[in-house]
Amino acid sequence: MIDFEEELKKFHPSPEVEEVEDIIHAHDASDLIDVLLSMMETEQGEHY
Amino acid sequence: MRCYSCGATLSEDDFCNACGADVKSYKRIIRLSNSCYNEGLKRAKIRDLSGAVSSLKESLKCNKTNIEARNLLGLVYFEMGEVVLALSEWIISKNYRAKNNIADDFMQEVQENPAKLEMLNTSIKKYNQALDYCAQGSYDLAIIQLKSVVSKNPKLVRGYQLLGLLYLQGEQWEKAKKALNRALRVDAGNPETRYYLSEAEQALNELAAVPAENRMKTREEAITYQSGNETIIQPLNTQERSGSITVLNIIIGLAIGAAIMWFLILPARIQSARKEINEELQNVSDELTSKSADLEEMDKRLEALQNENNASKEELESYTGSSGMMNSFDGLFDSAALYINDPGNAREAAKLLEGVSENASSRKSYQNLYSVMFSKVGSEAASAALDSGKQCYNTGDYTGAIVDLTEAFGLNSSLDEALYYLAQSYLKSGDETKGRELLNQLTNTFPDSEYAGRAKDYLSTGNTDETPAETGQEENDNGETQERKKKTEEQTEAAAAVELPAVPAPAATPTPAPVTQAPAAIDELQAGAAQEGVF
Repeated sequence: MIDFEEELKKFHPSPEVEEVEDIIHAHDASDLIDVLLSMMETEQGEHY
Repeated sequence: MRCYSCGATLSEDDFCNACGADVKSYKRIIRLSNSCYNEGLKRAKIRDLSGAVSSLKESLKCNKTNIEARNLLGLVYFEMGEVVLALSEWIISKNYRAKNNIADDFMQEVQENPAKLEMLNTSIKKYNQALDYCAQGSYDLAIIQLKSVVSKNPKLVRGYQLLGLLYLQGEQWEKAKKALNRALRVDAGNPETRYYLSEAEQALNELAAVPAENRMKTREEAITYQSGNETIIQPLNTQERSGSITVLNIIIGLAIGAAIMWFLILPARIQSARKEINEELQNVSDELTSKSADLEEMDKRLEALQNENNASKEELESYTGSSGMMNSFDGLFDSAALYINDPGNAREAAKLLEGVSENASSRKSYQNLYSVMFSKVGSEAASAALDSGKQCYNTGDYTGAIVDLTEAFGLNSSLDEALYYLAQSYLKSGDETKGRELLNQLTNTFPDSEYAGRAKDYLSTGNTDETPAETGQEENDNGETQERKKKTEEQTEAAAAVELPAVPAPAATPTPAPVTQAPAAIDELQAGAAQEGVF
């Protein structure tokens, strides 16, 4: 049986056009490659 | 694929040939990202949009610069009605690759239709408001708002989902199923949608499996069965309509239609037609009034023109008529010309003067010429007629004598001699009554005249006068003609009672004096007439 209240919590306000700029600024710009490069830099620093 | 360190093109080796960097893990991440992109593309093709979103997000987590994956993610968002999320992904994609990016086309297409963009944005705002209503517990308001949302943005999956959830909450299973099925048409693989739909179908199935007594009761009222995704409820307590009832219903319907026509439509049409007719009648009446006014004005103008024409005719008649100025001028001029050319033909000149009016012109020159001509021509014509009459009398031509002597006495009523011989001519022609009448007139008018004595003798004795009349030729021989003519002229002038301008006394014969005076008067008259515009 559906728990209506719980299901309702899954719905969030949809962003409006005026909020596009905020969405872009809040965009997480890091990806797995960034993590990899960071790890490699760290490893190289420890090595030296 | 390029090296993350130096940007050189990588080979199949696990290190960069240019800078020697280890690219083994880097290559695996890139491949993983591409693999996720391919998975997302496959799901998008089968309209598993939520699955596609998941795969594409994974792809971008591996490689944020995977432009194809980001553009496809924006496109999937746009298809799901999330236009703002779509624009965000395209803008970020544009940030990573400024040129040769299909995101430009997507954004341009959206921006070229600002009305549609505004409508989609409005639908999103209403969706958010519906969420607020839900938070407040106003589910009915939320349903109304969401209906408006999905009508304006029919691809907004979240709108259908929330609407379906609200219907489930209200146990409106069929409506919930319908809304969720619409959501599935947009996003076929959405797990939440399928979850809600399964709940709705389960509830419907449970409803279909009600207890037997309830089902019997239901059967008495209606039959419920499934037709695809729709539940059909057919009422049972209705009687089968027979053919006669159907015909009766049709007749009743026609009667109702006719009544509506008669009581509602027809009066309105009649009133409209009457209004049009009245307006047209008013227009015609106005036009008729205007025409009548014009006609009346034309009649007045015509009457004025006719009056003016009559006045002009009368004026023209006064100039050219038998008693008009022109005839008087013509007669006077003809008489003067005749008298100047042939002074001895005074009788003809006098005849021409008969039709001349003394008052035809008020000019002094006309009056002078008329007076000169009347006195001179009249006296000479009277003398000539008298002589002619006496000659006829002496020759026994009493008829000719009567004519001439009548003319002479008419020209000069002071000629007692003419009156006497006229009376004698009547007596000798057998008209004694007329002769006696004239003799009595003579004795009364000229009592001191010698002819009055002779008349009295006849009237007393009845003896006719056999003495021949003394003609002008005989008088000329015995030297009495000049004296008689002078006397005649003086008598004529006195009879004319006209104040003449310095007319010289006549000579023994027709003197040139009046002849020379007449042309001067004619010239003066012509000048005056020219000034008057007569000619």
